[in-house]
Amino acid sequence: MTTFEQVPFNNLEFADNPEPRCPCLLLLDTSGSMRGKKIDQLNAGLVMFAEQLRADSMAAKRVEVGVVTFGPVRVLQSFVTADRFRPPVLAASGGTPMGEAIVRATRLIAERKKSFRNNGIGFYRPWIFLISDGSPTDATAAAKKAVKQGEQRSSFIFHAVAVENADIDLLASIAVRPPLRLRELSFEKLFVWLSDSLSSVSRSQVSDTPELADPAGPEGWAEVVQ
Amino acid sequence: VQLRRASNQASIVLGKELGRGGEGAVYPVVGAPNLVAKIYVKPPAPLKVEKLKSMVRHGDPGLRRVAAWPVDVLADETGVVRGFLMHRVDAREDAHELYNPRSRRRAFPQADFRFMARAASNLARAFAQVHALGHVIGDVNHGNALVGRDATVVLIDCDSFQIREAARTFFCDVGVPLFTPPELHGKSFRGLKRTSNHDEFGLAVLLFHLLYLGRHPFAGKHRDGELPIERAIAECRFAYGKGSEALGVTAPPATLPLGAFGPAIAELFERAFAGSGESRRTTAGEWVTALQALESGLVQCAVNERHQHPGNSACCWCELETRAGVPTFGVAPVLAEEDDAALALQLWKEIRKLPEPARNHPPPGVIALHEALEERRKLRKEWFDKLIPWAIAIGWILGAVSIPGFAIATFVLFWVFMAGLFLYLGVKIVQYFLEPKKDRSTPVLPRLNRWPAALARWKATADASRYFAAFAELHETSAKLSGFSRLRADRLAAATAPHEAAQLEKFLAGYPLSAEKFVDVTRADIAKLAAEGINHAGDVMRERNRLHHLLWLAAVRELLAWVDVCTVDFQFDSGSPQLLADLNAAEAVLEQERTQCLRALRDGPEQLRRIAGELDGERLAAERDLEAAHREEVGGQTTQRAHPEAQ
Repeated sequence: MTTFEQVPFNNLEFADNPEPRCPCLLLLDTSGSMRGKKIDQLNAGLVMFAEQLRADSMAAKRVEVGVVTFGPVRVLQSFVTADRFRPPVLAASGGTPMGEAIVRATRLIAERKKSFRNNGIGFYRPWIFLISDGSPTDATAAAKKAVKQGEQRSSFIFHAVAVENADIDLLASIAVRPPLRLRELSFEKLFVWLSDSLSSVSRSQVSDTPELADPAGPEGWAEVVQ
Repeated sequence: VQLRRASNQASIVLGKELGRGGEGAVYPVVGAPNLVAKIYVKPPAPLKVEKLKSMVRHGDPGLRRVAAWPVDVLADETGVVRGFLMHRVDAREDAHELYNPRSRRRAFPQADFRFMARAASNLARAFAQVHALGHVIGDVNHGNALVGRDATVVLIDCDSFQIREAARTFFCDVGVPLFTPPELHGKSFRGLKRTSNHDEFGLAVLLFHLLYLGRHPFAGKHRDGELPIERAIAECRFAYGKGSEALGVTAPPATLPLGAFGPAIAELFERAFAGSGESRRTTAGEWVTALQALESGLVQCAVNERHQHPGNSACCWCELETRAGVPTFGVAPVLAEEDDAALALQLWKEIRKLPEPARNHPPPGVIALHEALEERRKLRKEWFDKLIPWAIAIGWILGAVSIPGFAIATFVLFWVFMAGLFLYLGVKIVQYFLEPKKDRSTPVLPRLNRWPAALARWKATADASRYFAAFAELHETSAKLSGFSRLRADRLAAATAPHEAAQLEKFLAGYPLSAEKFVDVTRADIAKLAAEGINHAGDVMRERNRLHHLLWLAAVRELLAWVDVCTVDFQFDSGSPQLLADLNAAEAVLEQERTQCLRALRDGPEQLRRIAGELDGERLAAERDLEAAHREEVGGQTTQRAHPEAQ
């Protein structure tokens, strides 16, 4: 070989597993109000999520999971493929800097897509999955703009899930898609649905939209907010 | 549903579901270990039924060896076709489990490049076999070729093939764009006539994955940023080809060059990916010949015995490993932590599979009886309790009224009340003696001695809390094991920290305090510090929380900043014998805990089964005990058992 092209560090991961990627960023509210049963259920849901994704050998290689918690805003898990995803154990404390968290999430997605492009890795439209039970304690104007832009340019799909007393109007004003309200803390159902959906996305083709189960159906985990 | 084979009307019985796809599920056939049945979710359309019947009629022995070909059609009682029988395909993995380097290490740990080349030629052979009979696979994808431990390939999902029968053609209505040739992109597959030339594009994509470490030939780097793989295919931009620069794409970094396996293979790929099918693509037969030649020309690398490379060039695997650091066919070190987490998950899954013992057992009849007794006891006590506040209230009112000098009024009131009270009591006493005896004896309740303890014992077994406590403990153990790498890091850091602090303090002892070094710290300050035993940077470091009591703020700041500067040159000696001894000790404890976790999880299912069994036994014993207590303490009239389970 006579070429002396530079080899970026992160490409080892892509050389080891060059499958097209389906990134899913979990944006999780871990503010003080989530304390108790809610955070326990959320943790149990995450464990389920990891297990389910790993059970599908194709999804395990294609679905990438990232976890950002707020507040304070922390990248608890930068993107890894599902076969390497170990669910973190979340603890609840602090405020709800949702605006900052959303902006951070969109930036992480943009960076990830850049490294896919640099490494010649195909990818599906990334998902951002926001779960919150409160209302933001910071400004959300930048977040609204980032989400609107991202959805318009098909850079990502942004889903918001409201838990109990979340400020659903505000979530509706941020997300372009209507937010969903979680039915009675059924986090496990939610994450089973999410892993099923990601599995079928990862089996579909990079540019088509597969049909997903309706989360607000009778067996689903959500209620549609009017 | 009662299913019968269309050929001989023999009825068949399905076993437990083996797998499920979008269209249907696959089941074993009871009594026919070499057959499986695919049953559709919805009965297939008439055209599909005809297709299946045609496939059964034209099943060729050569085809049956390389494909899970339908051998008989299955119909229900009403004659509606519900699925078909095929030969069982065992001990095989999806092709993507082989070509993806990461999953290859797990699914085919022994596979080297010779194996890959053999699997590739076998795949081409299977395609050639199908094409030789005039059929077309159509829906070529990463999941419809299964590879065995011996590198033989079996094609599955044959019911979607395009089948030719004399003048008739049954079409294939599906396709996966990543394996679809450029000329078919953007077209609907329904009713579209496919050719073997189309299949040859998909075959070449699969072969490329197998030979070039799981890469897709059209996933490249694009000059202007994003280029989805489908679009790259539609625009014929083969990322590894000769003309790729001109098309604005290049191969991704850390990949093999197209020529790694010699010009012949490169040429065949160029031809397969060149254009929109005007020129003939590399046929399956041509691939078989070329891949056989590739395999027979492989030699073992002089440096790494697991590298098999074409003999007429240097080892392409060594080249890739040293150039890009990409592990290819050497056994990659599997990280212990990954093992732990995977193992924990696997063991926990086994535990979760166990059936839970029934809890909240219905109470035996005697409990209901005792609850009624208890209720009566409570009522009686409540009635008595209600009287007390009234008596106290009246007492207080009388007391209050009597203080300020309403002496006469009080006197009168008091005696009126007393008279009333005596009258009432008198009447009650007379009543007591006049009334017949049996009325008084009814509310007498038995004294219970054995009963409460027996009841508590029964409750403890009936809600199975012991089982669920053990279950929760196992869950914690599995969480501990899966997070063991973090625990290990924390423990080792904790073991290191005191050594580091001690070494730092010793190092800082080499920096004595003297007034010339400071502006805000005066000679007097230094004397004051010396009186407290603070003579050098190490002492300052140790006593930093006390400094505020001794000096002004500015002086404290200057001192701490100075210590920071001294620290810059400090180098931690991670090889000190004492530290190593502590680390070893910590490791030993960790290893012990890890073994304990593993043992607990491995024994978990057995432990839970044992507890569940014990609980059942104890509950029955407790029930017998309850009944005995009841007979003894209440009397034997109502000891019928209330629920059948206890018998």
